[in-house]
This record gives sequence, structure tokens and C-alpha cells, in this order.
Amino acid sequence: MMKTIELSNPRYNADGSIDADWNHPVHGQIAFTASPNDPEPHGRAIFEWLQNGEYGPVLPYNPPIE
Amino acid sequence: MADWTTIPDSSIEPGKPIRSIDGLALRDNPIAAFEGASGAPRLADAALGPAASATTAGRDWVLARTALADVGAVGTYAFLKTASAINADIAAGATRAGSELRYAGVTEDGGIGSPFIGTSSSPAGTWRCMGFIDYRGQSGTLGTTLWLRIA
Repeated sequence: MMKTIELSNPRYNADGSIDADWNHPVHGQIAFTASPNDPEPHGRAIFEWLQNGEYGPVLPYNPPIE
Repeated sequence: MADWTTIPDSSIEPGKPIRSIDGLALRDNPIAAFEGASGAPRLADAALGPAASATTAGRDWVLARTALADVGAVGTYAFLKTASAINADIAAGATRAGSELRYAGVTEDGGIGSPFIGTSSSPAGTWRCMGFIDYRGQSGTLGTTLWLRIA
């Protein structure tokens, strides 16, 4: 599955899950939240790959400036 | 599970008996196609009946499978609120990461008397805005509408 999923720019979010940019074959460039609690198997797998650094280091959470 | 076998035209020659291996493939290929085996042709949309021929049984078949979807599954809808203040409209069709949204619901506060929109956790995945959120030029604006998970 990993070879066919183009992910970049992984970064932790405020919830502790990981956001990444996904060059999706149908939807184009989209922001995706990968979570270990995702009901979708592909979402849990993506979280594991991102956490394991398979798409590069995951940037720490950067809170927005209010 | 049956395997799909591509049978070249040259394997079935007019006037000659069919080989048992090709006969087995002819037997197994329809099974392989129904089972979704690798390489087998898939059921095309055109093979499905038009809406005019839809039946109650067919509707029940679809709805029973729709009802199997978990909360937050791809293809499901959710009423979601932005997790942080927005600085522009969110148009119908726009997409957001799940972390930018929160499951939401409208509560009528007995003390205040006006409804407010409470939130809980963030969904996973990517969501498409199926409504509209009006920024209205106000800093600190949060918006709530219907979203569809697309990835």
C-alpha cells in the first residue's frame, strides 16, 4: 500500500495524531489526518508509517498564533 | 478462492478438442471474477441496472451495507465544527484535514436560553465541506456545517 500512497510534510497536530499532505489519485493534493484510532485500516496504516519515519521525520506540533 | 486465467485465442482451436487445463480455466474464471481475483475483469457500472429498475430488495441491500459504516468511515457524513478560528469563508467543496475539525452538536442551554454548538474529538482523514461557513469578517469565527469524509 505504501508504494502507491504519496505523502509528504508529516507533522504532529494538537491531538497527537499526524497530519500529512497526500497527493491523492482521485482528489489531488489534500491534507490528511492519520490516527491510530481511525476506523479505516488505511488511516491506521498511514499513521504507523508516518510515526515510523517512513515518509521522513515528523515535525513537532506548532500551535497557531492567536 | 479461484484464480483468474487469461486464455489466449490460440489455446482454443476450431475443430480440435479443448485441453483439460483450458477447460478448468473456463470453469474457474467466472468464479474468479465474482470473487474479485487479481487480473479478473470487474463489474462495470454499465452492468448495473438503471435507477428506474431499482427494487425495494436492491434498496435494502444498499442500505444494509451503508449501515455497516463506522462513525468517521470514508463515505460517511458528520456535523463538524472548525477546531480553531477561521480567517476566510469555507466554501462548499473545500477540504480540510480531520484535525482541523471537531464532531459537533447543537445544545440548548437552559440557563442562557440560546443554543450553542458543543464539540468533542477530531475525526481522522480528509473531509469535504458539504455546506458553507461564512467568515463574516469576524476574528475568532468558528463554523459548523455538514462534512463528507473523502479519504
